[in-house]
Amino acid sequence: MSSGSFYKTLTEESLICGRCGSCRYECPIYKELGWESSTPRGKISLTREIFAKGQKQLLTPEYAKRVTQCTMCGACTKNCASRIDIQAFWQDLRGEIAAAGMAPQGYKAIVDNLKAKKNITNFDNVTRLDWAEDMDEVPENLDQEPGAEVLYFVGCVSSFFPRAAQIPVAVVQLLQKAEVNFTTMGGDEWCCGFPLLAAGAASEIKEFARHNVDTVLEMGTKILITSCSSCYHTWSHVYPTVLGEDIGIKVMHVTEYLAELLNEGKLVPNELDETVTYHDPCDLGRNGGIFDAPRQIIKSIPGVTFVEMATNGMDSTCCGGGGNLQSADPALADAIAGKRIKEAAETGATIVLSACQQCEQMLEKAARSTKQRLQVMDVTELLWMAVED
Amino acid sequence: MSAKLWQQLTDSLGERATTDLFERRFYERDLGPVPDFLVNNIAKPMPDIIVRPKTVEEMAEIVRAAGIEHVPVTPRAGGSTVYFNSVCARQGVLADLNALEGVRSIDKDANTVRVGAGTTWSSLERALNREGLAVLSYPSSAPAASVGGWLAMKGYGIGSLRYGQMVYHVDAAQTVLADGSIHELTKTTDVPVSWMAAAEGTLGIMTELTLKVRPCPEAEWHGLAECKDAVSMQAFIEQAAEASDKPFNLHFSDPGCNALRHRHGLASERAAKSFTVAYDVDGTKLQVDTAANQFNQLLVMTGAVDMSEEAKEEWQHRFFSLLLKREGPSLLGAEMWMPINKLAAYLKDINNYEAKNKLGLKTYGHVVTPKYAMVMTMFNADERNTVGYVQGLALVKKIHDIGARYGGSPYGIGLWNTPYLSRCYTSTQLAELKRRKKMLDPQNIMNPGKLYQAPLFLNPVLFGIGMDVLVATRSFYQGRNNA
Repeated sequence: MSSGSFYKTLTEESLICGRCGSCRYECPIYKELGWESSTPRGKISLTREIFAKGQKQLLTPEYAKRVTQCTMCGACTKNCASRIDIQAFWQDLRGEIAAAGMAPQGYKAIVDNLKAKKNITNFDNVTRLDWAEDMDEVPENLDQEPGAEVLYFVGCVSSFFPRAAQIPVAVVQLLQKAEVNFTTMGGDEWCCGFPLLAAGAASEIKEFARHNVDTVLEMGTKILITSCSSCYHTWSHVYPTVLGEDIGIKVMHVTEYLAELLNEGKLVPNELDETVTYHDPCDLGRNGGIFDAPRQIIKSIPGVTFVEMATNGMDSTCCGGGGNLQSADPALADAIAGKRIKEAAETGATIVLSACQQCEQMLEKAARSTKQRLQVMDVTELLWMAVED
Repeated sequence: MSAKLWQQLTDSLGERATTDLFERRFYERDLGPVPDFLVNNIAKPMPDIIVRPKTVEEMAEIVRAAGIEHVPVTPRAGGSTVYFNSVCARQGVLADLNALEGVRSIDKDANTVRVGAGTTWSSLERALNREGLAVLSYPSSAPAASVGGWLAMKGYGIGSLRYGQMVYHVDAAQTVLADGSIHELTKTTDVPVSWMAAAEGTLGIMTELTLKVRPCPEAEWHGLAECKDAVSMQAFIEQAAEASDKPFNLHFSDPGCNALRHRHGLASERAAKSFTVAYDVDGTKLQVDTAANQFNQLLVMTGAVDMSEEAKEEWQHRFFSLLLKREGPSLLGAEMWMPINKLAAYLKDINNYEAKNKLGLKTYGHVVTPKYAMVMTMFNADERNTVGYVQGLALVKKIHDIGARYGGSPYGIGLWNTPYLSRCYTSTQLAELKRRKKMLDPQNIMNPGKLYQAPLFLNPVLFGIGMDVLVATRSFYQGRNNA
């Protein structure tokens, strides 16, 4: 038996929605804005009028704005009493909004940029490994070593944003420490394509999926690890669907892989005297099903006191960084992050950990702007602190 | 509504008040997708203004200001009912109470919590669980329904069989009455808190409540009984409900309901052919063990078969009842308060009605007192097929009529169930409700148009004739894809 979600079409699901409002109470957007029009049920309800009942005059800029005000965190899907896959619904709906020419400029910029550069920035894709210059010594096997046992898919944020560069540095050093035979795709790594889904351009992701999967298969690597939660979700959940095949690669989040290395005794953490909490990234936790591995890593470090936030695990609140919300309504994204960092601070922890670069960027900015005395870092960074000689 | 009132409310609440048409449209309905042409002859559901108060003082000021101009005030939080209970019938001010949310204080010694009326039950339960406490009962719509909203309805649901109706868990309710005065209503005040129960927001607007709670249960256990027929199911339910140690939840489903759940992967093939009773217990380890033994004894006594391997999953799906919409896309049905000793006879009649009409009827229910259950009998429909859908609405009356033969009456009145008022209340009871209304809200500004009297188009006689005519039309035209 299954408790999973179901999905037919945008119009059918809009009619199936019972407007019960179970989707409301954990929705970070609704909690911030407070109006019925910002609830998932409100948006679905109007979608029903427009697309199932043909009232196209209701397709207004106000409605389009509400559709883009969503982090696609999946809290609504988790609670949906009709078992609608509401994230799939949002993806299709954003496609309709884009087709109607009502998507934010930011969406078009994302799509155009990804098509041109194969990453989410304006940097040339061949500079993907520039972060490695932060290391004392760049590993020889880092760039497209054929036949490596493990391929590390770095992700755009870690590859190009200086703050997040500390994550791949930590990951690579941990892999070296555990004597793992690994490599990366170097300049041949393309964005996983996840931002396309939220930008109403889902059909474009197939090209990215095909390129990335074929490149990894050509390199002969059977295990792919990634430190980006969205990349993880895309590789593990989206690629098999859009390509219509078993991709033949074992996809793991880096926390799962590191937890295995700890179990095997290949990494031995030293004592750290810290009180930490952990923010579950939506795409890793609620949407990816990985809750234990990051906690296992944290709890493996002697001396660390671990405290959970008020909402955690399946019920974890979003950081505001998902669903391309920053490109549609950055102030709203920041407000959501502000609430989440406050929740982290209430635990009494001095460090808030996550396992997603985007979450860390959001939370770090929120900690600064709200003047919380909290250090934000990735689980891999904490583990490297503990393992480093 | 005058410009002066609009100005006063927007000055006072700032961005938490709006007259924006785009926004107001979202508050014109609850769960029931009743077509405009039916609604507009009976009600004016579009609010003039929506306000989102955060404090009792703001709520009081809104009510006072509206009262001066005799403008209706309709309270709404979860908006998770289907009878227009929280939709404006006569325009005016729509008070969205969701900002009155959150736990204010917890008294662990007294096992009580003070909570904002707009807090959802799931939010409250989560907050209490963090403190080692739990609510005594909650609605099957807990993720959507608010604390105040459930009291304003009848307040029966999961946990009621063991702990009673919600009103008995309420020590106090901070309430704004129709004159804008603020009161702390208790069992002993001149206006007792019990008056607010099932009043559907027509007497006052609750803003905070003090509720009895309990320590988090040490353990839980879930059983599922497969009964050979409705008679056996009724026997199981009656004995379980009368037992000295009652289960926290006692829920039943007929084969129609189970078959649909099976088609969506939420129940086994075996369940799909069965009448089932879910028997959910929690408490101390001893209580749970005792209850599990009691369940086994009930199986033996009633000839039911243990299917508990599916019980935990069914419990986990307890908030997913709208899954039943997936074969609609719409769902029509009758929710009734019914004596459990008539359940088998009711289901037999429903089965006969189904044999004649082929609606795909399905029934489930929660046993909420030792004698009564909330019973839901439904069928799928398609709101895009206007004729078929309206005929379907008429068929709902037929289900209510079948229920009435067995002592059933609508659960919740709002606007749409006003034709059935005489089934829900005796004339003495109704006179008492009207007396309270006249006493507390002589101007009739608190959620007017609900509960006390049917509007002309829903007058029981006219309504009965109209529905019968509509049902009769099915013999020669059933609309596209018949409802």
